[in-house]
Amino acid sequence: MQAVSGVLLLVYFRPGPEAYDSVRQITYDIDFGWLIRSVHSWSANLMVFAVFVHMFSVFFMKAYRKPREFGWWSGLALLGLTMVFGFSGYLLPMDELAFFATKVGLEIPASIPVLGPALVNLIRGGLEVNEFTVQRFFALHVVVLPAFFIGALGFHLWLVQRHGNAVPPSEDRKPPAERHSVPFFPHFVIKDLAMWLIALNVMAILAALFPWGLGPQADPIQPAPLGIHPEWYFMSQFQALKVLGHWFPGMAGEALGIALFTIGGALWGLIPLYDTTTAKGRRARAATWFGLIALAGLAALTVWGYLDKAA
Amino acid sequence: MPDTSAATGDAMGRRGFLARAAGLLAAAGGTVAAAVYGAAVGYPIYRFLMTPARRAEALGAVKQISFPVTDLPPVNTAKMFTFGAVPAVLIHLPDGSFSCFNAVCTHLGCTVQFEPAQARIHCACHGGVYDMKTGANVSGPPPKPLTLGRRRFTGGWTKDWASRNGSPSPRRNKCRNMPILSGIIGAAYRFSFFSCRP
Repeated sequence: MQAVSGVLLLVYFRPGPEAYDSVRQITYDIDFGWLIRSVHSWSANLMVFAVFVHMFSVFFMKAYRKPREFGWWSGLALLGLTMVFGFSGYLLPMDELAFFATKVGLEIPASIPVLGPALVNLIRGGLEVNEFTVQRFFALHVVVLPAFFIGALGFHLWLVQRHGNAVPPSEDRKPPAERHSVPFFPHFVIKDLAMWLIALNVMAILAALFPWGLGPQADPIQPAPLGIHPEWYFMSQFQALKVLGHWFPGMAGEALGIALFTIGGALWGLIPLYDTTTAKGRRARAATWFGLIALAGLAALTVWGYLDKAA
Repeated sequence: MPDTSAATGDAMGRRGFLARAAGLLAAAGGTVAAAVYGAAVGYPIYRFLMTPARRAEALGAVKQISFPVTDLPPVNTAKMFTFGAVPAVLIHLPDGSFSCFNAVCTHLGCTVQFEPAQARIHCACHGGVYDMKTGANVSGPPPKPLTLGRRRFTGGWTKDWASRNGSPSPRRNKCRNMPILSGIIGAAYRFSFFSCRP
């Protein structure tokens, strides 16, 4: 879906100084351009959502345990790539919101000691977000990221083929003869097709009834509009930094936030190494609690972020 | 032991028939659903991709173009302009009169040019040559003459350029005379074209 709608948008999108005008043309001038763009945006959001759901289901089903550690890590790489896809794609319309979201988003890597500022200037193509940023985010979005994504996805799927689908812990305890299973064809294929159609319909309804808008053109001289915020999948980090910044004024809040995310992310990523199969083959409750707390924390911060914005 | 094979066979036959009918029905339903989805997805994509072509067609609906007399090319020179979406050439002939053509070579669609030194219209792609007054294909590969423009001078008199030069009537050639529309300031030459139906 993303590839097809993305290629269609490529037909009219012009990166660089004309980015905003070309997106305005796609949205308001080209027949069904609003729909294609809306499909691309909605589908991107649903993709991020689906990746998160998949990650948490893998986490709670303990499907990262040996021999599936690399499945977990390649999955995390795919999540990271998906989020960079989202971040880079968000700038491309070059409207006000896109401009400030990118500006703020890039401040986070900029706070990495020593390397940060140079790294961000390299990514940004200047000292401010400008047409060169759009141009290089575009190259990243349509060439570099897809190339990495295809490789990572291929590896991920190859691992699934190699190790087979993970069995939930409750099924794993039963002898193989008693396990519940369905044949791949036609049962699984039909279920998969049905799910795919449901997803297509949901996406079509969202795209048609809630078309993605386009804000005013980005103007670096204008102040940031009130209530500015990133996409929902970056909202928890955004809110955490905002809150910590209030609690610990100055750079301490930001440094603490980034440190917390780094440690949390590392613990999350390395879980296959410390939550290994127990002698009795039971679930490790500590890891499950960690997952629940992480999920609740992300959800609470996201909701808090939106409530804060509305207030 | 009673023989039940006939009854069982009958029951299985009915069941088999029903299963097959259900399968066929499902296949037909699937095909219809696939067609509906295909159309629902394909139609917006088709329209999305066709927008510029449609716009160009709308541009092609321009039926007439006007030049103020002051914008006309000097004697023995030509002026290229776009007529709707296609290039056209207006030639100020050495005798002071004008000729005007659709500048698309009838061979393979290159844009032709006026060559005053050779007193001809030439296509650089494959060497086609046309008559600068009538647009007739004189030599080289072009199979047909250039489409001729019709000149009108606003402010008193109107002259049909095509008929003055004795060119075949566009109607006889099954050509369609595009209707006229133009905004003119002062005295102007207006050119309308004939487009041939394929």
